Amino acid sequence: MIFQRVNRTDAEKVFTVVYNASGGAFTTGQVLQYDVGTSADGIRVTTPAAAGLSAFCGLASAGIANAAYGLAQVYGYCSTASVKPDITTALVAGVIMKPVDASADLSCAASSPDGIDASDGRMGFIVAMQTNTTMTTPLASAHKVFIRAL
Amino acid sequence: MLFQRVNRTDAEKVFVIVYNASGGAFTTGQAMQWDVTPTADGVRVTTPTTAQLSAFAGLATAGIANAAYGLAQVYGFCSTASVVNDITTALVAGNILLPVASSANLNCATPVASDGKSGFVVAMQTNTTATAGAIAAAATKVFIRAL
Repeated sequence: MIFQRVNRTDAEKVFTVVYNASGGAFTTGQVLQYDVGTSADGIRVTTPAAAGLSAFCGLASAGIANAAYGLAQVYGYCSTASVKPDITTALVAGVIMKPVDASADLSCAASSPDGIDASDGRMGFIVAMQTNTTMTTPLASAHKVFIRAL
Repeated sequence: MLFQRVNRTDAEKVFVIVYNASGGAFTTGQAMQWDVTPTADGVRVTTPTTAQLSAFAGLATAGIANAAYGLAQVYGFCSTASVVNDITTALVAGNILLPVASSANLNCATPVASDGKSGFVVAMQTNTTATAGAIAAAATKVFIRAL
């Protein structure tokens, strides 16, 4: 586990080592979920799936090829979360962003069990730190979030 | 607080020191709750009780005798969580496992589906139902996020 050295002007961040067992590559800011299959070992991560959304690990700090090791950010400010805007719902700063079934990008859609939820002051692995607008053809892009998954 | 040294192939884990004030012993993988009585000091832990389940501390990394100090794992993969199976409900990987009132074991009787935003302990394996009279705690893979 890597804790950023204390620095008055940089946001505090924590990272863990993970192994990409998803079968594909992760790009910067994409969502990693711990493997909860029979090979689970606390290092293997994969693409989020509905039944394991609370096994959220963190966000990829850089690209991680399939079957390679990399770093997941598990705490702190991140300006590069991979967020896909929604056709009808604009992102509101402060909402809880949940991992999305079968997608490594976060979504701005208000759906259950994935998508976004209103801030409730007691939970949330990822909280939006910016707004965005709706998009006719949603494409993921870097967004500011706060991660609290440690 | 103990942070495991960075190692590419071992799962990341974090431990804190606790004092067993439960009046009994904890065994490996059992759930401990912070003492929230007037003697609370952030070190004393006890057996979970209904009104304080959110004061979950972590899982015992080894046996801790009453009135003794030990380590609680508060973050990371744990293959030895003490989970009791259920007669009617099998454990589903990814479920949130809740502390149980008056028990130091986690159980499969009250599963909570993954919601992507909460959960101190998440199951990382399945198990099957037990027959009546054969309910027992067993070491189970979980992920702890209680730091």
